[in-house]
Amino acid sequence: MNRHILAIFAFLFAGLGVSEAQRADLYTLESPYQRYTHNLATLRWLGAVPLGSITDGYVDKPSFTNYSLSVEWVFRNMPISAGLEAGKYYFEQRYPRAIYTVGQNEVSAVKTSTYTAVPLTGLIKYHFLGTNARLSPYVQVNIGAHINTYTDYFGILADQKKQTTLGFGGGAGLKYFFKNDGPVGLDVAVRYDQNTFKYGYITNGVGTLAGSVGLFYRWW
Amino acid sequence: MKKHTFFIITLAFGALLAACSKDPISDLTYEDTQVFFTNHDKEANFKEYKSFSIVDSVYIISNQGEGTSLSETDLAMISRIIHNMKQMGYEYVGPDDDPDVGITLELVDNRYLNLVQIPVGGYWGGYWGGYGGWGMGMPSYYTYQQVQELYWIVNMLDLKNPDTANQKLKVLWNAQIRGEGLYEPSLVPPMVDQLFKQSSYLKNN
Repeated sequence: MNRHILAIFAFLFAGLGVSEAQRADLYTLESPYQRYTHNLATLRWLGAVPLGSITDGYVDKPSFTNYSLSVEWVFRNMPISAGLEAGKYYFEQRYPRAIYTVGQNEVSAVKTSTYTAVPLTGLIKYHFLGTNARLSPYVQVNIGAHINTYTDYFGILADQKKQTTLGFGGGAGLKYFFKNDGPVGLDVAVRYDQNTFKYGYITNGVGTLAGSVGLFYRWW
Repeated sequence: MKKHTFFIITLAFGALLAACSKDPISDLTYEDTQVFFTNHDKEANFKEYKSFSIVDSVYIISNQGEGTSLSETDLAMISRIIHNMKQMGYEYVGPDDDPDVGITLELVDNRYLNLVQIPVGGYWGGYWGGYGGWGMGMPSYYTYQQVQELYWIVNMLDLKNPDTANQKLKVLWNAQIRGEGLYEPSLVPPMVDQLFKQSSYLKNN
């Protein structure tokens, strides 16, 4: 009986020794995120301020109802990723009743000025410390289209213009993985976006300076 | 995941974001929805005009038919215009007392019916066990939605210098009020006051 028990313990210890050895091998392998081109999705919330002619009597208040989603291919053996980004900027400002001159008319109204941009852009990112560093700083550039909606409400009457224009931008950020080689992490960034929309008060395109906080997930 | 799926996900998200938008003016009060338009003859010298007369009822312009009206709100509008004209320095006289200007008051009230289809769900809860998996055989359900366009027009006509050759009276001042709550009697005084407040060139004193 005792012999049998000893044999079982010997087998178990031997097994443990093998699995320890295998685990050591496992840790010498590169992460699959380094070995394969993989996918990265990032959902961000942005606080933004408008810049440029939009602030001349239209909207100069910051906005905290802005979002974006990006999906990227993170290339193997390169500190670069590329993908697509879709988002939304929304700015709104209410002005107390005042008298405006519209054509030959004097118009008294409570004015609510709104501007929405839906950027649909392609992006390229450069990761300074590689794509798998636990703390990974990066810079990115975007270029594509912005779908602009300008709606200036006088009371309940609206002056509206919808137009798709060229949009481009750039930013710098930091990715932080919650675990080494993990799939999930935090993304913080600052960015500037610009487009060529012109209508009404907006005479020279709309610029937005934004700070963002987001969560990302990667998979292959 | 195939690469084109990325495009679809991203573009679908973008389209979703573009479609979602709140109504930025849903919080406006009746007073704040109201918009006051005024315009005037830039060559007119309003100090030349000393007296005025006003119509005794409101003329209704409507796609349902036209006519005159003298409801509580109509009367309040007329009274408040008289009050403001007096404040501006004009003398209120009867229509036969040779007034320098005449004031007309019109209410545009157009109503339209739009046919809309009500989406009615086809789920009945599976309460009657013998009909598991059955749906409702429901015909399309239509109803009408009424849209109303309502606004006030006030005109000041030059009775002192009528164009007798062409049989026309020149409009010296025109005002319109648009928005919501336009037929609320309690909102009439501030509405009319605003028209005159933004037309200080009418002052005659």
